[in-house]
Amino acid sequence: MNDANYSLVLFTVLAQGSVGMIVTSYLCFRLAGRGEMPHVRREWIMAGVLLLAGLTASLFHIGHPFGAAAALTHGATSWLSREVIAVCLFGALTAYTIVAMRKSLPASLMLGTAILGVVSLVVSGAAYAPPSLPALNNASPIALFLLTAASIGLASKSFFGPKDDDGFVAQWLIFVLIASIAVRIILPSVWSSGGAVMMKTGQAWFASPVFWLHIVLLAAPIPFLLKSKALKPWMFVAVLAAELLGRLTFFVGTAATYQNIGHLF
Amino acid sequence: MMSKQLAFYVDSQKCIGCFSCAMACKNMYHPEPGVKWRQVYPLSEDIYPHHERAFYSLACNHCEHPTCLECCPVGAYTKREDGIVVHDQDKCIGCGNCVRSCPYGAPQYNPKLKKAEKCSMCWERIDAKLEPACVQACPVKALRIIDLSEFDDAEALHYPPGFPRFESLNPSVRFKLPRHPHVVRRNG
Amino acid sequence: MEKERKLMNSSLLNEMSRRSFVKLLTAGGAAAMLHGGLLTPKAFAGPAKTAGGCKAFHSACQRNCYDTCAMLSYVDDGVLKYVEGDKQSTFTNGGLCVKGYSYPRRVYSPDRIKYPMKQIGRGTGNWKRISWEEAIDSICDKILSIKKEDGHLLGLALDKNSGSEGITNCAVIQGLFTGLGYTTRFEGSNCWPAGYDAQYFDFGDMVCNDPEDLANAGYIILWGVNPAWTSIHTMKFIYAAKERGAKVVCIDPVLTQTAAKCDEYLAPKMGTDGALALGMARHILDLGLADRGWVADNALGFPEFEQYLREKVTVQWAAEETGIPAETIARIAEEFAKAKPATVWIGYGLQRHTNGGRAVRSIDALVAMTGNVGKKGGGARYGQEFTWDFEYWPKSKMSPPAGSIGFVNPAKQKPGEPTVYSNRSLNRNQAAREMRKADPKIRMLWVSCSNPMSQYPNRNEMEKMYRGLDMLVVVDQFFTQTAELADIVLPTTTQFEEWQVNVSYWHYWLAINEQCIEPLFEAKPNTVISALVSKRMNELSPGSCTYQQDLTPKECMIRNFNDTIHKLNGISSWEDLLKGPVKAKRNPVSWAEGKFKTPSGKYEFLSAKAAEYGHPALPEYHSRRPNHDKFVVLTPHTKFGLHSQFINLDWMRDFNPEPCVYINPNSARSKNIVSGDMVRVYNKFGEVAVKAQVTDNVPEDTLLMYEAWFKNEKFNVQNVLDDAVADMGAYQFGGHRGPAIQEQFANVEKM
Repeated sequence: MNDANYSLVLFTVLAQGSVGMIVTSYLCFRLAGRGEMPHVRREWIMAGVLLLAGLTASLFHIGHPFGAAAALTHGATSWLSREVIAVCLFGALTAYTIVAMRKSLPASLMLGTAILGVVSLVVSGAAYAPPSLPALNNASPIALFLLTAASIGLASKSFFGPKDDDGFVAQWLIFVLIASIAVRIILPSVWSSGGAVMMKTGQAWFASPVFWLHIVLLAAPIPFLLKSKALKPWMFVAVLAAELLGRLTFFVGTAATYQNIGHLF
Repeated sequence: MMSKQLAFYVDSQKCIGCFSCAMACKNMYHPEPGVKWRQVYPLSEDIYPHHERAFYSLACNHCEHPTCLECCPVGAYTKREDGIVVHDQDKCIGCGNCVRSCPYGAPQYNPKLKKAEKCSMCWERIDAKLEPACVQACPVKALRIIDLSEFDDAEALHYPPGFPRFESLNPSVRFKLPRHPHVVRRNG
Repeated sequence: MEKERKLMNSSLLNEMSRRSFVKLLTAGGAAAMLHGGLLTPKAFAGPAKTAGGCKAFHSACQRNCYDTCAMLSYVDDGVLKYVEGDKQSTFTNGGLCVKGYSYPRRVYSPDRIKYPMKQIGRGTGNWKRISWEEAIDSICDKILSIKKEDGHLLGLALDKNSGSEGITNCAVIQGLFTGLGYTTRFEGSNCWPAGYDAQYFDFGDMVCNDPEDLANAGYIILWGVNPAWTSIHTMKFIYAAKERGAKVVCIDPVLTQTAAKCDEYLAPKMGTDGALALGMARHILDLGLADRGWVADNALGFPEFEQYLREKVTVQWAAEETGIPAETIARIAEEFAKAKPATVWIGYGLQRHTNGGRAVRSIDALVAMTGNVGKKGGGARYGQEFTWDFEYWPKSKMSPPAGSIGFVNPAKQKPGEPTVYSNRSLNRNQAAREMRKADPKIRMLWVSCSNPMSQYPNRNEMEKMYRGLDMLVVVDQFFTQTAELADIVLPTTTQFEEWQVNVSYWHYWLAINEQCIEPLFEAKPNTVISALVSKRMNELSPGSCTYQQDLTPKECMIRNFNDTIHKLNGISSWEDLLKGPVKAKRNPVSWAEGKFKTPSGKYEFLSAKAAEYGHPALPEYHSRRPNHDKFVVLTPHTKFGLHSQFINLDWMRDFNPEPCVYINPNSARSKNIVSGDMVRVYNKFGEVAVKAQVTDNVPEDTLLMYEAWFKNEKFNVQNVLDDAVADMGAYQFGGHRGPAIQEQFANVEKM
């Protein structure tokens, strides 16, 4: 099942990145009056491509991917089922919105898609918070997923005009990156004073070179942004790489209760 | 009145850690190497003072509110009237969610079939009035099947040290803790 | 080398899964219904007894084990699906053990030797598949050339050991060799000779109460025995005694699993059990708790024993010798003497010492003087062989070919009388040494039901000797460390692929083993292998082998039944066993009539026979040999294997992934070792690289490793063990003393 981890890393990061791009795009458009067609359309198409890539990657963690459609049927009980439903609806609405963007920007559709995106993030966060992982059996996956979406979404703005001359997006990116780093260090610190399994998780995260590399990569754009307030494409690469590595730690480094049976909890 | 709930009774005082139960299960279901439906967990020295001399033999706890059943996106799990939680491997798509979610590690991934699988409490044997393979295998009757709706042993523990507490799941298992001998070590 | 061998075996059949095997056998048809995990939960449904549509067969576990289970094997469409214990045996009671339940994986293991193989160059790993004809031809040619060159066959040797204790296996292999002429035999026993002799000196025979009778005991001492690992089926009777209020005490240098289940555990210094028993005996005397009535009626030499105790033994002395506090020795002695009945289970580990035989005599004495011999729930329990009186046909009825020349025993040969020839018998406990000294040299060795490279001490010497052979033939199911040195490897069958009959040296049950599946690939039972060799020998050189040429395993099994077996078990024929195992109709209390088989007819505290064999007549204490290195090394049995069997299976590795050496925390600290470190256990004989586990289950002066063969690992405890022998064993084992394999020494350091 180890290969499943890579598939889940790709899926969650890319899908969350696409939500982030869409939400960022909508907020910039709506609140800051930024963005015209075709920039926005291109942005949404890239978000759609990311989502598609993520969904494709997700099929690789399933033993029988051709049965995946059955996963839509148990939303009544299963958070995973709900996640599949939400992400598929989000994907469908994204596609529909992209099509509707031919002549102008359909503000309500964009809003609806953005909201659905955030909802799917929250549902996804709940799906990755099982009782077997005490460190994550709470709202921390939701928090981490929101931060992932926000940082990738904001960093992706470097590819899409108009230019961020007054540093509006850069400011928000600095804020999100700092918040991200803070949360990702605070969480394992808190776990390190929890029960046996939480402690193991905290220790595993802090002992992981992959974890620290991802912190460094998150931090890297900050001094440059503070100085010049200019978004550069390399920052998107750094943030994406950071999120992938961070998500890898999330899946691989988190200890489960069944690894501790026979020992004190 | 509680409805019928078959459960495992794990008597760690009688248990000699012989692993007959764990291998009897393998003998019956031939899981892939690496897949263990039943495991015999040694208790750490914090719990029992002598290294690898006391154990909990655990498989699936057939919980009252099973995580596996709840989290399965394709509804491959059902809970029978006698409380046994059964996995239908035909419906399974191998998403691994139950494997990741069960705090007791009961469902495991079969790399050959690419599906999950777990202890079924040998429900076919139970229906045929036989004991589960593991229970029959135990040479000292340390592993038994009980019905929690009728079980009345004030000394039985639900969450002994070393067994994670999940009251919301309510695992159907009870334990008896092991005693230790009076030890006379040599001088010098 | 591994790679080539694996290649040979697997290129012939890709991944020998059961599915592939069944395809082979049933030409495709029925195999279609089997899938992946052969017995998925859904495939199970069916009527109770023959669940899953399977046919049930009676089987018997063939291993050298106290419990030798009566089994049921479930076969569907020619494939063994699963096994279980037979409930008809009140000893087996429906369950096997972790090893027994792995049989389905053992039978169909991808590592099973499938065909006769020839190795080009000893130990090169360059294996070539050959036909049975070619294999038998090579073997026969070699035997004939040895006979021609030497004029006799003492250069041909057989090592048949306890790897399979099926009765026909105990007759057909030696039978073949007798049929060839006078040959060299590795004899004696790696197991129990010292204590066996001790029981013969004391009682005149080795026999024990029915282990099911342990439930009747009022006090049980488990002395140097670890039934929680090595006789799990007896544990329920011990627990039953406990429930009736019996106290159970465990005496062992190591805190074993059994110790953890007892009321009290004593950890004496290794090799001092005799002193402990004598100290207890002295205290019992002082308290006036000896059963003088029983002793007066049934024993010889008690006054001498009493005098010895009063002059040479005190509780204080015993405390110093064993390290057990004097108050404890005194208390346990008093409890033992007052509880009626009290019993001791004397383990085999206890007597694998240079002073082991005497230790057993001391414990026997303790049991006898308290009047616990011949009592329900009592006894000095060691083992029994009264259930083993089969025909051992054809071995027992055979003679070598006329004109055969063999070994002349100078002690037995009377001058002027016709020369009496016999086999040359070598002590398997000193196999390497014997091979080095052997004159005439051993040129060819046949190894069956044995894995000397994994099981005999002095590994480096053993390998040298084996490499010096002209030809080594190994008959086995797996490529063991011995097979890896062979010139010719012959595949043999598991019990499921042949007919057998089985008894135990502990419980009283007799069980038949029906053949339930066809032999896999070209594997053949020993009965057939012997017949093939005999036939070919006579084709090449008429009259060169008097062994049967046409014999099926079933016929052989049937012919081993005789009146003794029928009467003892209350059966009229072997066919009665097809209904299920039967128990010997014998008083479950041994020595109940007090008719001992010693020269005096009494229990002998003072044994002239012992003196005849160079021991003190009384069970006097003698210290073990001194350390030749810093730590004591113990290499007892693990629950996960039976010597080198089972541990190699992947199912077993799931529960027992790797070997360990267990080190006491104080010793580990002084060597800067923590759990998980790789260390070397080493001495002047060799070394073993192994992972360390720190635990105070072992005392400070001891290193403990479980003897085992892990597939593809070089781990082998025999690298550091020498061939010291026990004090006793020569009496009942043809002059061959037992092993002192639990009295070994080494040092350890972090790697």
